[in-house]
Amino acid sequence: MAPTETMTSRERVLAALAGEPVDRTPVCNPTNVATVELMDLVEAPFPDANRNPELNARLAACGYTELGFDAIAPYFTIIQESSALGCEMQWEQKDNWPTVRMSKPIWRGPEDVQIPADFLEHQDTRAIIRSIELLRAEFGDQVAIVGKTMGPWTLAYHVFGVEPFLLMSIDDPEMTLDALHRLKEISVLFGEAQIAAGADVLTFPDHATGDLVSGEYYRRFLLEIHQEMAERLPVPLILHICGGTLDRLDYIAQSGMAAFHFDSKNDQAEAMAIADGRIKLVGNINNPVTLYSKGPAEVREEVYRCLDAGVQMVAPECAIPLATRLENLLEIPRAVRDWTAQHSTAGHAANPRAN
Amino acid sequence: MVATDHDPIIETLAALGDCLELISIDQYGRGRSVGFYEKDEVITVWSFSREPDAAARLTQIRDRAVALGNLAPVEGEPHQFRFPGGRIYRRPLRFLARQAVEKDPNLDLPAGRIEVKDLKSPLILFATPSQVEDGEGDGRWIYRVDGEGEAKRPEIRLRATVKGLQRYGEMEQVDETAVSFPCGTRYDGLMRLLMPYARNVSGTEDMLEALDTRGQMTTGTMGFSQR
Repeated sequence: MAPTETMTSRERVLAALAGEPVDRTPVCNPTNVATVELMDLVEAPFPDANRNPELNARLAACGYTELGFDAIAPYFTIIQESSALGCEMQWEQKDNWPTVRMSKPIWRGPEDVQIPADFLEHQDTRAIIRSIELLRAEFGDQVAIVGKTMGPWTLAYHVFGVEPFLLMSIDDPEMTLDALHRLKEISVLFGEAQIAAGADVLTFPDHATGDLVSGEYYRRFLLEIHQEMAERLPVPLILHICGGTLDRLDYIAQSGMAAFHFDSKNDQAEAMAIADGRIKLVGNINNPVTLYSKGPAEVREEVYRCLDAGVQMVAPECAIPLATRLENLLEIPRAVRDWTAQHSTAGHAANPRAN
Repeated sequence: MVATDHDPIIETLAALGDCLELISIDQYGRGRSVGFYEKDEVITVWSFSREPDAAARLTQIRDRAVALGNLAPVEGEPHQFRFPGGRIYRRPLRFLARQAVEKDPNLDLPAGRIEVKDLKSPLILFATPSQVEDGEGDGRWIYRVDGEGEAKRPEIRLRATVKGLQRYGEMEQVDETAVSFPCGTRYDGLMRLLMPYARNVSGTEDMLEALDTRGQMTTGTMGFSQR
């Protein structure tokens, strides 16, 4: 028999982030779980659902109301702030992600970093802030609302261009740090606005990924800034960095962030060993192969591997492919519940390895 | 704000079965997504959209798929069809679904000999169906692949096409230049559909990879990697 769930979704997520006991492992997506079929279901297609708060909230709510996840994450993309800063956008269609045209950077160096006075009133920042207000009003304390504010490294890629910024980091580390410190104020401004609107948690993506920079880069350029963010933003933060990150996980664990959203390229048990209770782990279900092209059985296997390793919150590793099959997403919470039922003893439903 | 005037998707999916192919945008159907779901060997053409004209468009897609693949409509069910041979061929279905949704519904269906111009030689590649007795009296259908025109080593191109048919059609090789569907059914429409993909495996792989990459958020698609 399945153990009785005694917590609301919101209580479960916040408890897991705080390292407190939970009735079962939460399914907490720090990033998007919307698909093209959900867009049709609630008549909220991309790209409009990224720019209109009503559509945004309606689509985001599906993660909780339709998929049974414990969180609602209304910031689907990674471009809302950069659009508000004036970056040239490619909004794409329903089936693809909007992107920043990084080949046309808007700034050249730290001295150019200026936050527009109406930054929080721009359509693309306002859409998220207002959506969070709508979601909080609709769902009250039932479900965790996970906002998102992009970190300065990702913002730097967008406003300076990837190659110019990486060259800057090699040629002039001091200038790079200056730029990052100026850009972090955008992260704080947008994060605080989402908290005021009702966000319980913020995802903090900062793409110092294994593809392009080393773990040592993370320590040198970002660790202190991330520690500062964890102090200044008064909600639990979930750091997100794609790709292989085991070489920097020890530093990440010192960031003071509540959790790290980690990629399936990282072995769960190894990541748990490095984190060693200093930071919670969330994520790890593979997107491009498992969720996109396999079936529920394979999804279940991955969920079980995470739970067996003691991963504190289960979720896709990153924003899911927009054409992900719904049956695979539904399988995630179903598998968590089944695993919990199989491993529960009277009065102890939660994952003992997760604390 | 929250849309609740629909059945829970978990119930809908229980009735529909597994999603075999999902096409994100139907440009002839107001940009709706179209899914091909399978349960108990019946395929349902489905959209979660509740727009009033959606049902008629799904019927049109079903009819187009049936005609393109020599498949069988399910009587009384305007959005369903089945493979008359019983076995469902998932990889061919992928190409069939795209053709049924993405091609102009007003275009005439291809007819005549099953043929395609080769891309790597001057040959016209063609397939001829014939029924063979295999000793058990079930008379399975095979397709012999041949080529017309001048080419230096035509057998290489024929063998490559046969390999492509095995790969994308889930077909069995009968001999060097002949293949059949494992159920032995005659599917001229599917063969006609598969030949252009089978003649050009590398191009088809590139196309499939591009389809699969679209809508994925990765460091590559976001421009944050060197790939």
